[in-house]
Amino acid sequence: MSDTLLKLDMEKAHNAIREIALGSVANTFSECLVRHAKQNDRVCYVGVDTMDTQFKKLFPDRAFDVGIAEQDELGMATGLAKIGLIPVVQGWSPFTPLRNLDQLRTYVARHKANVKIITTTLGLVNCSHGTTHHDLESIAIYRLIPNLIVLAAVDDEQFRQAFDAAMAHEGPVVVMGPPEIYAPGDDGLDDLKLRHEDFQVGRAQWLRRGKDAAIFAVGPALRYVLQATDELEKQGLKVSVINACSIKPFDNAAVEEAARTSQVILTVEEQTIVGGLGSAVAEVLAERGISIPFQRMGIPDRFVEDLGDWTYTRRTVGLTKDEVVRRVGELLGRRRQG
Amino acid sequence: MTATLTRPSYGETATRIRAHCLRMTHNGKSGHVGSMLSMADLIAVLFERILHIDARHPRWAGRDRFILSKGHGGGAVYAALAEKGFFPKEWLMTYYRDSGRLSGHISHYVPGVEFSTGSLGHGLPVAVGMALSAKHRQEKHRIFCLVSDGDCDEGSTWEAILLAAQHKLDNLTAIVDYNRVQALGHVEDVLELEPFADKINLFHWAVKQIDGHHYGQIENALSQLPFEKGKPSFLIARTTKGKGVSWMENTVSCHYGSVSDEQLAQALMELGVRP
Repeated sequence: MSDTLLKLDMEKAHNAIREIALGSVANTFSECLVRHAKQNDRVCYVGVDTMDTQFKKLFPDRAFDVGIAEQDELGMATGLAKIGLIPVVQGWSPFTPLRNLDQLRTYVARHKANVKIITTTLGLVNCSHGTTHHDLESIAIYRLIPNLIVLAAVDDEQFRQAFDAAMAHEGPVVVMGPPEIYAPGDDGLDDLKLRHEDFQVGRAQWLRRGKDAAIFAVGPALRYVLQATDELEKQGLKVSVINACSIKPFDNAAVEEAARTSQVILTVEEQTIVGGLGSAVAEVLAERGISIPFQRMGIPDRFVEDLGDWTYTRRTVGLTKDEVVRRVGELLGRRRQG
Repeated sequence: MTATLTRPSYGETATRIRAHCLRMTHNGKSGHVGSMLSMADLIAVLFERILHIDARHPRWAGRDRFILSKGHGGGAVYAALAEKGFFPKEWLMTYYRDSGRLSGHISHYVPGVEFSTGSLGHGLPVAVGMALSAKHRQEKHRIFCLVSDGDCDEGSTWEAILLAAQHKLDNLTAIVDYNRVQALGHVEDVLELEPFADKINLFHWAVKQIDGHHYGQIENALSQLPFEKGKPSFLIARTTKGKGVSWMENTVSCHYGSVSDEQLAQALMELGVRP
């Protein structure tokens, strides 16, 4: 193949994978990476058979690709950080953190290595690819690891803010970026049109405020939670929507405020309900003795095997806007009976 | 052992597999067709001649076990299984579709599939475990594992390579669909494996290298197992990514890109298949 054709082929391949692996945030990711690399010559990139070609063109001696080797990716990133570089690691969930959890815990976190891990496939967004490609455990896993800051961005703008916050921190940070939903299905992908204040590590983002119910949600779940609150508003119910964009440290105060200002609390995540966002909220309620009707909504304790596009797959596990509406109604019913 | 004659149906089977894969990925708007096309000839010979399997008894205890470690190429195995009668051919168009029978990466819930893969580097360790168990239980069936070159980036694959040799698993055959193209680049640019045969040889496997699109070479190699008694067999099959569709061959973009209506028609024409 001629050099020209080779170059065209690679560009086509990279555009395809950037859409799949990084999705809408692909360009934002590159922009953030390059911007920080220009400001700081210690910033480098580590890919897992996912080289960022723009970065490589500008900073060829700071662009590393380990191939399809997740354990090696975090191992060598730790090594890079130990000798003064700041690796921005593009991890492909669920393989990161499932395959390299030991490296994450024992090398990156325990050594407080200044490594930034960026993933963008949280939840069921890989739907029909199958169970091997569903990231249903990341939040629960990351919560387990000491010394780790864990952030989740809902859209491009918040991703940029989270990325900057990650780079400003001296130590390991995970940023779960807004996922590319390659097969959205009927629900579509409306622009969320969210307005963001400055991102603060440890602070949740109140997207809406209401006195009847409070819903904590994260990542792709925010889409149908916001749709559900529109429906609930038509029923005369005012609902707070809290974007749990800082998973660790978690905004415990937001849970207390939600319990003070609303009648019921629901958590919604495209993650297992065991150990994730729902558990984080439940822990605060339980330890602070807060009695309030509460439910966790997420993936039940099983693999998701009935597959299709994102809308279809979510429907098989009850992660829909209609189910959010139903659950809020159910919780308010319990409140009235109590 | 004398070489067996090449059966004329291999090419026809491989063409049907390729056509199915193109139609499936087009219909499901999915990628990975290049990875399916590169292995189609290997799959044709394996499923037509080499594997001792029975569509009427997919869980027959004495069957050979075949694991596809490169789970993203599952469409080609699904096509072969459908052609063999393991399930109705109508299932093929449910690939990547809502409530489809066939998930994107190969699934053990499909009749004839031994193991679900998709996260690379998992097939060979499982195959080693199967081979070890079969040896321990003195069972006569064989274990085959088809890996990609990308699979060989993963450390877990090399752990399995070490272990297989340690236990002299000559009932195990690993086949590499060595198309030299990964997800986002050529192998030599991402993580070079050469000198591949030498490396595997030093890990105490018996190694052969063939043209992975030459039916005679595929059949000869896989009809003479193990390559060496007391050693697992490692077949490096040099293939072309996207084989059979001229504008896909040896390109990186055919890994993830899906096939448009026009491209499907062109590809089927090149294969000599009716749309």
